[in-house]
Amino acid sequence: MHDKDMLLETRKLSLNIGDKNVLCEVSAHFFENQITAIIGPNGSGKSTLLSFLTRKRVVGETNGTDGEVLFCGNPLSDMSSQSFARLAAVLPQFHHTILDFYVEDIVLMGRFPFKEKFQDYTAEDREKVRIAMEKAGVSHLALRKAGGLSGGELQRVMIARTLAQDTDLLFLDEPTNHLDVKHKLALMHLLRGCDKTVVAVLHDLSLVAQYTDYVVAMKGGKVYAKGKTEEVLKPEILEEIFEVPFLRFEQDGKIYLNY
Amino acid sequence: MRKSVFGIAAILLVLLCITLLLSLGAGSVMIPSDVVWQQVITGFTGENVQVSRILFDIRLPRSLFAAMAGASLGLTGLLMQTISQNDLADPYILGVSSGAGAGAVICIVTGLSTMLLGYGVYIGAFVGAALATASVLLLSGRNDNPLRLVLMGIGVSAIFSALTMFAIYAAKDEAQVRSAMFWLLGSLTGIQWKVVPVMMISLTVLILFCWLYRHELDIMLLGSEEARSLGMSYQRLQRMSVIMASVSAAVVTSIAGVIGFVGLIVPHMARRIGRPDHASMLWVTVLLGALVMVVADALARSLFRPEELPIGILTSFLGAPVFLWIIWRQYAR
Repeated sequence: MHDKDMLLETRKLSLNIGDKNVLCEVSAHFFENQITAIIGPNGSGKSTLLSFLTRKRVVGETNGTDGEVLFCGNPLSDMSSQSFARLAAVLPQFHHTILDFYVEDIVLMGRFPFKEKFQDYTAEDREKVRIAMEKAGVSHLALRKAGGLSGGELQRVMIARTLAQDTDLLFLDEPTNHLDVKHKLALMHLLRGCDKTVVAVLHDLSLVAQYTDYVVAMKGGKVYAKGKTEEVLKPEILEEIFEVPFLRFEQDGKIYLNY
Repeated sequence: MRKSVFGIAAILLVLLCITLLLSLGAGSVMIPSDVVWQQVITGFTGENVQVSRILFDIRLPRSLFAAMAGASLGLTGLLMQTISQNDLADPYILGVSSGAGAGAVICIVTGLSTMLLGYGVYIGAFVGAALATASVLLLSGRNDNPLRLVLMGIGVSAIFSALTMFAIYAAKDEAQVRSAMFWLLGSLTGIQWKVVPVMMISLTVLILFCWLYRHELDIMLLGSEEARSLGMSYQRLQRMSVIMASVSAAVVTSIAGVIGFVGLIVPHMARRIGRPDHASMLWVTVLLGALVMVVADALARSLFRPEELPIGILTSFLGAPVFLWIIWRQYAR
């Protein structure tokens, strides 16, 4: 048994599109207040798994699905999309940018799930937006239009929107996309310090090694390995998954990976 | 934060009032603006009864209707552009205008227009518009891809246009053909006080809808997936907006005929001069739409005095180049 409370769980989750097994009996656990990384090569089913955890795909509704996705022991599909949005914020891999919107208005959209019908945004919402923009390092962009931003700035704006939702649960699909080294580390540091449950698809294994608690490693639609980060990030496992040689060394209790 | 938009709205409002006053003077009988002003402040009870009658019975309802129709067309265009996430969409893209056109022309050609208490054309247009909207909704089904919606609109539009052509071709009476054509060109000739309340109610409902759902409409621009992950029921709002836009467009079309490009150009201009969120866009679009239509109508009735140009021809002449310019700019790369 694990020492942490399990928040989310998939049981034998499968997805077939045509004759392709996109996900094959995926059973994985995600623990409260921990950072779990989903890793694996391109096309291994990482984002697909995340799509089930974020209700983008729902077992039973989406064609070709089988298995279960449980949230606190109950089927995730029982939850309405609004109540889910009040609990969990999602940073998609590809986002739709409304080019002529101002950054502060985009971040403010993160407060939408908490609004009752026809209710306007309040000063409290705007305060949360201010804090989120500060955390994501985009306060200075508040009055800029999204269309004029660089890829990295835009990614940070989207992160700010996700943070503005102020949920205990964060789903991030490749959150460090487009970010430079400084902002990558700043983001991971922020996640580490925020005491939230984080599930993130990550490509940068050195970030995974340094900042995550658990790892679900995927290959070919299956869970190849799962467990505590230091147990999964072993050269022999990684070499099997990514098909390139790995070198691991440890210093001051930190894991470093090279390939 | 929204100060700038209030400023813009105030300027537009003043401009609109001035244009409305000036437009009252324009027409086959030109009335000097000081006479118009005299009439307005005396409540249209000036000593020249004939001028009073022209202003109050003919020009005032027409100008008021033009303003409200323009506001409605602009706002409908904004809704359509939001629904389809395509800023080249306009009220007519979902086939509403073709539907209304077919309905009205069939009524005229079959002589139904003279029945139904003289409301035949309006009712025909309205039924046609509703049919077109229902077809588009049914055909696009439980699919929230905006492109599918737009393409279904184009297809349905083609069918109704063919129906219109057939009805005109099959018409036996020369006068009927002329009447049908005139209606298809769009015209505010003969607008009377009796249609003003209908237009006013329709516009009020539309404004109220856009205001209540302003935040939802903003979120809608993120696309269905992100909207859903923010907890919004995307499809429900999409459907409500389609119905709302269709009803509004049908009301204008059934009274004034087909007036193109206002719904396309006005939201574009509004986006340029104001903020892009719906709360701000709403007011700028309403005022700008009204302003554009009042000016267009004043031009339509004074350019070729004493003859009158159907306003649909004028808006197309003015709007089409702007439309081309938008495409030229937007798809430059």
